[in-house]
Amino acid sequence: MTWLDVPAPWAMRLQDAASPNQEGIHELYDHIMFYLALVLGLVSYMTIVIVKDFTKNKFAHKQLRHGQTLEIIWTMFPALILLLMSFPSFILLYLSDEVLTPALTVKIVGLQWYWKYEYSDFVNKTGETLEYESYIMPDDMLEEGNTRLLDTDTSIVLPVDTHVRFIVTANDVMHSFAVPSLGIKIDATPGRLNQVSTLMERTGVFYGQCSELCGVNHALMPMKMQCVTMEDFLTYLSELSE
Amino acid sequence: MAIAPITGTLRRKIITDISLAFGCGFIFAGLYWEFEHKPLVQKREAFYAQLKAQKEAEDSV
Ligand SMILES: [Cu+2]
Repeated sequence: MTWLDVPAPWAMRLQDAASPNQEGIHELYDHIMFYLALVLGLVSYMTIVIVKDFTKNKFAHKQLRHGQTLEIIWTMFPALILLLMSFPSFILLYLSDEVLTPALTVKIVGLQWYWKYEYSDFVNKTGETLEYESYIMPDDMLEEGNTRLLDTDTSIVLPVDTHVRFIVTANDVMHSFAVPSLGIKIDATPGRLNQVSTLMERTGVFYGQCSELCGVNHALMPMKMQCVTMEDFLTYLSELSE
Repeated sequence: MAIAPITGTLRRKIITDISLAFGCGFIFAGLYWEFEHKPLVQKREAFYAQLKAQKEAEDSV
């Protein structure tokens, strides 16, 4: 099957999920859509009936000043719907906040206007932390199959089926690290370390864009994440540490 | 002779109207659930089931 991991023409729904977190978001989205469809049907029917029955009936509202029962119903019912939507939402919110036993930590630094990735768990041959920068691929260097404004020169490479923790910060102004396929969006704030974790369930390439207005080139600092098998990841690391 | 007050028009119809309205709502919501949500979930589950089976097959070699 083909996954929707990049924006596609006429795509209407969310991008496909690659982590349990984003699957939860999809589930919540569909639950909320269920209630929205319910309310849409209810309100449309009521509107039609009201227009049909009361346009020609001049006396229909003559004795009607207020209706307590009606008011109670139209207060309680929306409240109930909101409660039904908010509970799963809070559960998901607090679940995705949890960072449990990550096997790997990657430090992500936002800068004007690029990202820097540090594999703080590993060092190269000279004992320095593995780190590199990632810039957007300029339009004139795009190749067939690349995505404009999303592809970068280097990408974050991560192993599949592994709990990964991101420590996110910034060096100049606020940025925001976001990867829709993984259900991640976290502020990169100077002087502050924010953490978020993910578990990628399938290999693939996932994209994101800086999500906090950070200056003129805010739109030109995407993030590209390659999820590979553990063997490929280890090969990548060893090549990086040469 | 005065006309008898016209009352109860709301109450008489309200039960039918509310049930029909909720009926419409549930039909919409049900259609969304059956034809949008379920196939998507099914496709995803099928993929991961197949991925798991494939991994197991690779591991047993
Ligand atoms: Cu930015």
